[in-house]
Amino acid sequence: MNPLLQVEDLTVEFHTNANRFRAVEGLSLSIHPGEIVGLVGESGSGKTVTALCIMRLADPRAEIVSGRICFREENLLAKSEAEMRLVRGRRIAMIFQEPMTALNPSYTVGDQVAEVYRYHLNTRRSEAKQRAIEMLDRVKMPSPRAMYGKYAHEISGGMRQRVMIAAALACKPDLLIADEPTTALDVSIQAQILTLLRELQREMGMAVLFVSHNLEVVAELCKRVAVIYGGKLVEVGDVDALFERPAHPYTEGLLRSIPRRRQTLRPIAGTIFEPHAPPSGCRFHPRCPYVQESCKEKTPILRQVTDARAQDNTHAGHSVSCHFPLIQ
Amino acid sequence: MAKREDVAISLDQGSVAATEKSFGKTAVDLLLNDRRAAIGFCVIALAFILAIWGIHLVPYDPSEPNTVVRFQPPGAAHWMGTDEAGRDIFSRIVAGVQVSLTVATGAVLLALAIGFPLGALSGYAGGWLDALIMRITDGIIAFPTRLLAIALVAFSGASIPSLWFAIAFGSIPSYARIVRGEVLGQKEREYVDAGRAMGESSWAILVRHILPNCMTPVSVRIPLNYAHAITAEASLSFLGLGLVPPTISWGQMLSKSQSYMEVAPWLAVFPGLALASLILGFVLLSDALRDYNGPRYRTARKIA
Amino acid sequence: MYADPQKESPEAKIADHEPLLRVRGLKKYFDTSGGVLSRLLHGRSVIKAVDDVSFDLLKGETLALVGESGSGKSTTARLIARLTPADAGEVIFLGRDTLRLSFNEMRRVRKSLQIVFQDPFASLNPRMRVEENIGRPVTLHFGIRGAARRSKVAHLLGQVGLSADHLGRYPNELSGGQRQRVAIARALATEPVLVLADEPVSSLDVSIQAQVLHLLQDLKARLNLSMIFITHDLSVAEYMADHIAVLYGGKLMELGPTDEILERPRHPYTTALLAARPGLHRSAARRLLEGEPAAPINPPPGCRFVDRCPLRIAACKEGDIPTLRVTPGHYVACIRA
Repeated sequence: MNPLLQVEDLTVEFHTNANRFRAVEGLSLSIHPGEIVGLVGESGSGKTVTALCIMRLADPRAEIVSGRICFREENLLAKSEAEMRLVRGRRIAMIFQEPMTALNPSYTVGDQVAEVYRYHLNTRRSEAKQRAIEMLDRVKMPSPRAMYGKYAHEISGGMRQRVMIAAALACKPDLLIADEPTTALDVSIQAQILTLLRELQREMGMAVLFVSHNLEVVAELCKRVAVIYGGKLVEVGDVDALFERPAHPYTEGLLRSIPRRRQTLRPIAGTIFEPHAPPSGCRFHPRCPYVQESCKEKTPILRQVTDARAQDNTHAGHSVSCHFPLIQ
Repeated sequence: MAKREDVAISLDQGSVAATEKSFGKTAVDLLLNDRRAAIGFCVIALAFILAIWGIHLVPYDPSEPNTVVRFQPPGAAHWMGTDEAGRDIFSRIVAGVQVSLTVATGAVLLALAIGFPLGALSGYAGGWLDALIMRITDGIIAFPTRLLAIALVAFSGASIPSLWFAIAFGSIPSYARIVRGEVLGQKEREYVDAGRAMGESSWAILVRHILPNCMTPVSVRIPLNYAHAITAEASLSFLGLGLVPPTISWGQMLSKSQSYMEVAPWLAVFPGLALASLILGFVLLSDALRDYNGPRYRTARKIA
Repeated sequence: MYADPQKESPEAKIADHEPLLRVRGLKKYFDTSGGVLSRLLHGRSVIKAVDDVSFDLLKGETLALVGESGSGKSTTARLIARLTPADAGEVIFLGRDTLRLSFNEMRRVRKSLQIVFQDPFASLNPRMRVEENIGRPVTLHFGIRGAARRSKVAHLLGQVGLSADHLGRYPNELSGGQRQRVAIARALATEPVLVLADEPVSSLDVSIQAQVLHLLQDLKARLNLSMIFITHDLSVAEYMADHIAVLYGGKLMELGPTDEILERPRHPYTTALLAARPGLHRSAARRLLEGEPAAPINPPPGCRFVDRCPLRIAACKEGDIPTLRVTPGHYVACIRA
């Protein structure tokens, strides 16, 4: 099956005052129809920039130096703004971390959902309102009819997130990009939202790109996970395989950073590099507990892991970008 | 140097992370990068230099009348021409800087000295003291300060100290309110809690911790205040309420020049240009400072 | 709730029998009524942010206060630190009720009770260099200045894993993790006995969070610190703490040793929180809570958790919920536990 979304060799550069740096370098990722893929990384890893680039919503100062983003065989980067507007919200939708800022405070939440129907599907006002109420019900909002008329600041964080999800899924997009949608939520609400997303995905069959810094959240929802560090992908694979036997030292480090009762925490040493001065060779080498001389000189590339146990029935197998991966 | 996380966040969200630097670094950064700051700074620096040493550099005695060369247009001997008493206008312009800056500086400092602590106290103490101080400053704002200035000068005579008071009075509320606003905002910040938690006294928290963080809008205000004060002094002198000869003031020169507009327009042009340039210098600096500090006020929130 | 002064563990025989910190009946109500007209029309509006919270802390132990939004955990910490005035209750620390001390007496007590705040960006004074931020409490409590202070601050920096190069830097020149280390160094500067850590790692990345947690565990052991650790993250709580107190809507729902809370939670809210944790192999079949945690505004009588509780019955809405002692040291406020 052909991938729904194919990011090929994406490189994004930023210019700040005197400096330029690459937020994303040579990133390639594919997402198949109906697949839930997680993109895991910490601050400054480039995960959000990648997600925004897919939607062509990245900061204007970001320059896409090279690469293609093929959605249903068409290169999104080659499209005009007018063409992208037909894609956004209709074929690819996005939900964000902070719904308070993503929702317009001057309009009722219901209206913002209805607007999606009106804009993309040319639905009449009254019918759009009806469908919006149905959608609000589908995202398990209590009393959807009453909620329709509320404003963003009148409802709680979890509710706002549901409204965003309703607006995003209104047109049954092929791909949903979720950028840290549960990070700002309480634990119990996070669980509700994740469950909701899982159910909706099952019902509607869309693909999901779930961007997060939280490994455990990603583990719960996603089938396949891509780990990004310093703008480059370091490991991609099936979630179970990755968690049980990580191939990249960074992934291993992240897993070991999760606090557990009576377990020694083994944090990753050091901090991420300055944006304009990436280390030579492998970008992770200054922090890698297994570093060797060649790691400082040669840049690794993403390669398939051939270990029999790591073979699985997902589309792309298990790949890692490391000279001395933890599993071969 | 911006940290990766901060840059990434700021670029993702369009805001700029806080960039507290030492005063020296800030000044250099500003001067090198913002043309307005550079121009403003040059104009102001030139003005101060002239105010202090200019009197030794002028070609002619600015007060010495010389009826032989009355109403000379600008030329080789007199760069800006001569006035109705034959005095060299260029020398008078240079001499006038001293008055403008002396009066302005005094007025600004006085307004600061009164307004700043009032605002700080008001914001920090809150309650009835805050209400009282704010009502007083409201009263001052409501008051027609120009008239008050005129009345004050008319009452106590035109001397530099009375001009200081007259001009400073109207500027007190703006400092008070700016500082109060900043203090109110900073009071809720976590480092204040941290200060209290470490055992600082209330006074120390205000003076050591909060006030240093309130300087930014005040520093933007000061050059603007200067511009207003210079204008105020010039206006008062123009109306004949300012300092009297032999003290030379641009406002006074402008006033005198009115009668001779048709025959000797340069009597008005140069004082006018001088005033405009000096005021513009301060305004440009203020603008540059404000823009430099502006985006900083948006806090950079972590995405991940 | 009262911890049993006679604990079974051997340390109790070595350490004091008297708890280091004894919190009783702590209350903080916020009146958000608005003006006269509003009060007439809508009645009084009171947020019972902290409502009758009590617990003990023994020397050398760590207690985690766990809760979601509106639970009152941060407010409780602020009340103990006397950053916010309490409306009722007592906080007996080192034998004295800190809520009743004068401002100056409290200042002296503060030497022994220090806080690490959540936002490393905000809790350091942006206009002071690192040396000043850390050194100020050193001057305040030990009277040391100048070169002597610098060397003490450098030593503190070393304890938190930072080099002396950082002395002259401003907070904004440091990364989030570094700032938090500076904040920890500042808290340690007065050689406290008890450290209140208010969500100190919540705003940090996973790998940095791990570094800071590891550092805190290390410091706890080396300096024999007692700690109250506030967090919304149960994983962090289970790693750091000997005891966990679960708060909801300003009230204590359950309090007990970490292992017991994890393995045999008695309160339905605790069970739900444990179940809500994301992770690999979480099945969709787990029991999810409905509704949202909210600030307890004008709460009706009975249990605060009643609207979301899967085990609720009519009696849960009547009167005060009594505290059951499950085992020594393990208490739960639920009639259906």
